[in-house]
Amino acid sequence: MSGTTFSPTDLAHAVVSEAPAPFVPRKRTLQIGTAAFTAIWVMYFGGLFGAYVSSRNTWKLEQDGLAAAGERVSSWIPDSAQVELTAPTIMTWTLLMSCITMQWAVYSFKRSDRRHGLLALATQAMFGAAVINQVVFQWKQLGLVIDDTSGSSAATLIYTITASHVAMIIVAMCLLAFAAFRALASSDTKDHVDVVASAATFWYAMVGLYFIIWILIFITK
Amino acid sequence: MTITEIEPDASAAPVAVREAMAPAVYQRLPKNILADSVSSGDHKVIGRLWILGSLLFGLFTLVADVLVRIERVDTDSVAVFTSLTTYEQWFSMHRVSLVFLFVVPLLIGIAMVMVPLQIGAPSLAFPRAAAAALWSWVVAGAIMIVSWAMDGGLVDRSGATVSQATQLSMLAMAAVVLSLLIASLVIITTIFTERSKGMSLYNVPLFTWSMLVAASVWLLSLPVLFSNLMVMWIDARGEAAQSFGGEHLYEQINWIFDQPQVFAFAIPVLGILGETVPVAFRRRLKNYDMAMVAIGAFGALSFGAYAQTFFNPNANTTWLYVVGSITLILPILAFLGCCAVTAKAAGRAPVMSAHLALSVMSLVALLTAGALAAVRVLDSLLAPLVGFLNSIVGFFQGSGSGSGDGWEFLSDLEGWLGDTFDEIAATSVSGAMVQLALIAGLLAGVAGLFYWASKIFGRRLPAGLGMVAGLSLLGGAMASALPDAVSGFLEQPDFARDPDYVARDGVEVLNLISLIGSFGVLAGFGLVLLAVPVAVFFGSDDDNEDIDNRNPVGGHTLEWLSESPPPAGNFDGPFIVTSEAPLLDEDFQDPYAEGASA
Amino acid sequence: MFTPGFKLFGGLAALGLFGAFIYGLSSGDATGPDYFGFVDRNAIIGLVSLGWKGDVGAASGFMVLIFMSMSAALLGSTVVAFRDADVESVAELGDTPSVMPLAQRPTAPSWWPATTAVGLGVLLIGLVMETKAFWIIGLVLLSAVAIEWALTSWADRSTGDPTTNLALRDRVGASFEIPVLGLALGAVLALSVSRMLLWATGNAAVIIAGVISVLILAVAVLAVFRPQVGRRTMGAIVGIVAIAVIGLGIVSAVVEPRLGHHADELDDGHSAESTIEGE
Repeated sequence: MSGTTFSPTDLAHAVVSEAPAPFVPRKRTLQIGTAAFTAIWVMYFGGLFGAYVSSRNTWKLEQDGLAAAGERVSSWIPDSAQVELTAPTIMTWTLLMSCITMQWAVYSFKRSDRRHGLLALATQAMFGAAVINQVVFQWKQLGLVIDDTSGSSAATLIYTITASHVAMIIVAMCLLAFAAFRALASSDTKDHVDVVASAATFWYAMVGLYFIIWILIFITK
Repeated sequence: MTITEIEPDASAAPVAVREAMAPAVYQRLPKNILADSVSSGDHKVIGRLWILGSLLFGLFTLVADVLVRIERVDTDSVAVFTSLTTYEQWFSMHRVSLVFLFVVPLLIGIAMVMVPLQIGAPSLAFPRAAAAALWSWVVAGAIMIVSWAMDGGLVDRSGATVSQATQLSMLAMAAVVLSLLIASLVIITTIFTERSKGMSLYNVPLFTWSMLVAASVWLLSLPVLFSNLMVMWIDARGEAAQSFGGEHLYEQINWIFDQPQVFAFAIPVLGILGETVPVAFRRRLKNYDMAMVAIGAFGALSFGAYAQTFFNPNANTTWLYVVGSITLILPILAFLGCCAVTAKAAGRAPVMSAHLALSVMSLVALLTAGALAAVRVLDSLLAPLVGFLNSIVGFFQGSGSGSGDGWEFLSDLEGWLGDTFDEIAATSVSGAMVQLALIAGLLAGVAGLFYWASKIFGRRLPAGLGMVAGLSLLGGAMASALPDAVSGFLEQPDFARDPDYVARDGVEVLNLISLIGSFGVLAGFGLVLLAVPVAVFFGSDDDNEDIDNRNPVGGHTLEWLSESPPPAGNFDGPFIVTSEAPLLDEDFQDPYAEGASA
Repeated sequence: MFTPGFKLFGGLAALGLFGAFIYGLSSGDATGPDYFGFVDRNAIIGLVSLGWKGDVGAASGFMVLIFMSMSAALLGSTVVAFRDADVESVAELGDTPSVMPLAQRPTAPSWWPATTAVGLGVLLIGLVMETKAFWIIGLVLLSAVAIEWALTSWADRSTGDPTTNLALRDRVGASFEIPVLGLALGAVLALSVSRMLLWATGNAAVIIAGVISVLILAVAVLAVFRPQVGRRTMGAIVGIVAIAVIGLGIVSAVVEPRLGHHADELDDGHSAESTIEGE
């Protein structure tokens, strides 16, 4: 390491002198990459929603035929399942609130306000954890079984969709953690607005997709 | 609290990006080719590994094709495989690996090497993500093949619970798809964010543009396949297979191997043709904008994730599907028109080369596949039109007293169309189209390997070997696909080997010809595999002093300014580009020219 | 005004939306089209309300096309907002627009991408085999990769000297890598020893414990009284001992535990039964 000296041993205040200026990568790389990544998730959920709506329509058509023939019918979501609207509605509002804190984080980063930026990201992470907690509670409350004897595929699709959304929340929280790390490790958060803006794009898409889940699965059933 | 306080220096003049890595970085790693390859962040190394992996998997894929076709010669019994289920496993394995382990990764590998060079960039946008995608693809692909061999795969399991091997096949295939998605993401981001100054998207080379279109279509369609696999896997977690298991496993992903989606894997055919044709005629491609629009339109029309017959059995008779399938060939013809106009403007014969021949052969295969795609949906377009016409005639015949019967010959025509074409959707006509479309992609990839061999391998590949390989590949593909198309009209099914199916006269002979064709494809591919080590170990570019080792083909785009093979960082400095063929521009400043300023 | 990137993605979005309408219209509602062979009132209501009301027959295709339109619109709006990330547009963001921003520099080698693949493979196998250990190891590997990758990418951008960046990365990373790895290694060693002790009979367990203790003492004594023994040699000795302990622990865990104890219990049981039967 010739030509490079480290002054105090305190890691928090390590100053690297005589090292050349860092390479500044072009901006927009992370944002366009995140937009493409978000598009992947949106299309993934598009496929899932298409499967859900199509399967539900087919099921209802079959049950209508059975009803016309005077036979016993079953509902799309089995009667043994308990679909409560409270948890999903709370989750929807939580995620909508999280959009405000997400934008607060971007705002703080742009104004080099590290403290409020980190606070916003921490609040964001808390919202995400709360939603995951609600989903797990809801799974237990629903009582859906994949091997339901009625033959409805609602359980498979609902579990796939909700579990995928949980995975998306986890990925979004990882992006938040990455943004927080960059904020902690840099001298000016204004240099890392692209990181938090990318995390924000992904977060908003995640919220939008949950809104569709709420309507599709819990409101229209 | 900060770790460092070095401020970025935005006012510094641009420095040469080609700088050697500090020795300390490499001293931490063992110096051997395996470790260097596994840990490399150089896009050229990553691209070469994609190519190598795809060629190795490709060998397995084509051998599987031969075995499947041997089995199909005798339609009455199983000869090669122990049971019908095993046959279907190999059939589905061949199809899946042909797309996801062979053709698409080959094109991605070529793109990973060449796209940064074409746009004048020193590296990919996310090189480590590209490396992660590569190794994930290798591991997941190996697990997928092993799971298939363990009696897994996506085949008929009617009445049986889904085995662990089958579940592993689903997950491994999902992981392969995810890897390809990440690779597509890297390519898209690189093309947008790493271009040289003056190179707007109007000026990018056509191969780069075609990869942008292709990667975008893959980005939009492969996640839907991922969703199918996830639903299947979650369903399989239950004790008994529900709606998404049993005999429906392969059916749920079949849309990927059907029109129009299968054509999405052949989009780079047009891009590579757009590179080789102007070089062969020693001039710019005429109507460049039209060529870009044609590639974009072809990509848009090849999006086929909506046509899932599992959820909608009538998907392949809807207007969108029918019109899309028929118009798919139009952008190809438009692109061909641009090439023809270029040839006419050149006023001389093209410089013949292996890469030109291979790219023309890929176009022939693609056009044939497009024609088959149109034939498949002909009844869905013509029969309703004839019926509609007949109903109008009937309306006028019976005006004032109800509708009439229309014209008899129109009714007969409508009936004939329905009888002849109605049942070919799930027959081997489909298989023929898929085979040709994917072989077109393969031929384009091989054309790219020969064209850019000096950049990819550091050596030019033997042209004679390339020509013979191309003829064998195209001839074999035609010989294996066209008999299948005829068999399809004789109602031979494509995938599911219906135990009650009785082959009509002539089908077994056609299957035998198809088998011979598959041997031709395998032989052609073998020659391609031979060409690379022959060139690398026995070739030399120093023999002919007249050939510029940087630009042995006389190319017009930026990649021909780098050395062969390019060093770390690719170029010594940034470029300022003013057109789509900068090396033909009079005012282009070649930093490597004698007397050029550093 | 509209960049080529926007035209590409905008075209895909428009085609997706248009295609969704055509697809939904021509597939009719669940009972099929009502008028002229392709028009259905329910389907039109379903299309206009994007599936909320009415009924779109081929819902799967309709949804996929609508979402394709949305995804392409997202990409299109991103690229047009950033002017296709053209170099000149990016340069305008900096303080000195006359200086062109450099493109991505070559990346230093890294093992993390390959480790991602290993973690993914282990996770896949663990998910299918339902062996908790496998998928937990896979998740742990992937988590470790994510953390290390973030650290490495930060370090690569710290200064312009790769050597300094490497040193910085080590300095920051070592603060948590060494304790975590040490804890993990200690846990694995303790678990291995416990498996060996569980496998062995009473006397054998004492012998094993004694041997391991003597081995540790011997290595420590060697380190104290032969300071000239190089780091590599010492590392090799410690490594061999650790691998041997872990290997034996794995073998012990796989082999039937407490064979000696089982045999004693069986013998006792047999003698008791024969005594009962003999009565």
